[in-house]
Amino acid sequence: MATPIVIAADVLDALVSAAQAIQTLSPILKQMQAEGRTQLTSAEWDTITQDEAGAAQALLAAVQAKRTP
Amino acid sequence: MGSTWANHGTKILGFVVAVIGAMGDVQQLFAAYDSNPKHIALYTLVAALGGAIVKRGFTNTQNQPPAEPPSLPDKEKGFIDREVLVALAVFMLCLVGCSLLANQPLDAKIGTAKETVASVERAAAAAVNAGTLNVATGQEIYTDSQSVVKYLDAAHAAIVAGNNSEGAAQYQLANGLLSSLQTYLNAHLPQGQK
Repeated sequence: MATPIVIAADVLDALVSAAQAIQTLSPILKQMQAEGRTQLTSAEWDTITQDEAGAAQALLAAVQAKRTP
Repeated sequence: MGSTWANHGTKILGFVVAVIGAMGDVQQLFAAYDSNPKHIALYTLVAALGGAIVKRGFTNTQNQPPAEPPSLPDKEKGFIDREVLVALAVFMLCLVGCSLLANQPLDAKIGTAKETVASVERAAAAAVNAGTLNVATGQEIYTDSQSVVKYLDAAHAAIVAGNNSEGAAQYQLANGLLSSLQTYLNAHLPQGQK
């Protein structure tokens, strides 16, 4: 009965990915609201961009790894 | 086997920490931007669903002997649909989250959309690594996600340059692509796991 273990791991992976996005975004948006800004600072934008770039790189690496015999 | 349990435990611990932090953040976030009790209730429901899923994972693995790694046939017919449903649910919840942030400045929406893309990419990478998402679908998600990112970058650049109308137009294009990606996932994922 290994399947339930795999289910839980996969479910956790999916949920953790969403939680990570919230954790990255939440302090940025709160800071924007607190300061009454309508634009992200370059540092905030860089943080979001780096987060997305890391996720994209992970996906690409996963795809390429599966393609490699 | 030991490493499997250790890896599983690490993920659980990481998830619990992430959820606790995220719930506090979400509560404060929506208290600042949105006092609609229906929206708060929705996120409470989301948290409850997440907890229920994790609890089911614990329940299913308790009182059972350490198991052999699952065979491919078990993987194919045992949990793929559930994994796909969860991935889709996470994706749609991210979209719901974006729509609930309707009162935020455009640049904040753009940042939220970009994090939504990151969330989808992370979930897809995990699924590809686990073998529950095939390579072709993973590649398609990557390609579509990068198209969305291109429009979001253009939207942010336009806003920084003071051209809010162009920023809004680029954001709408990105949102259209996000909707297309959602449609693709809904239409192809269950058939693409073979």
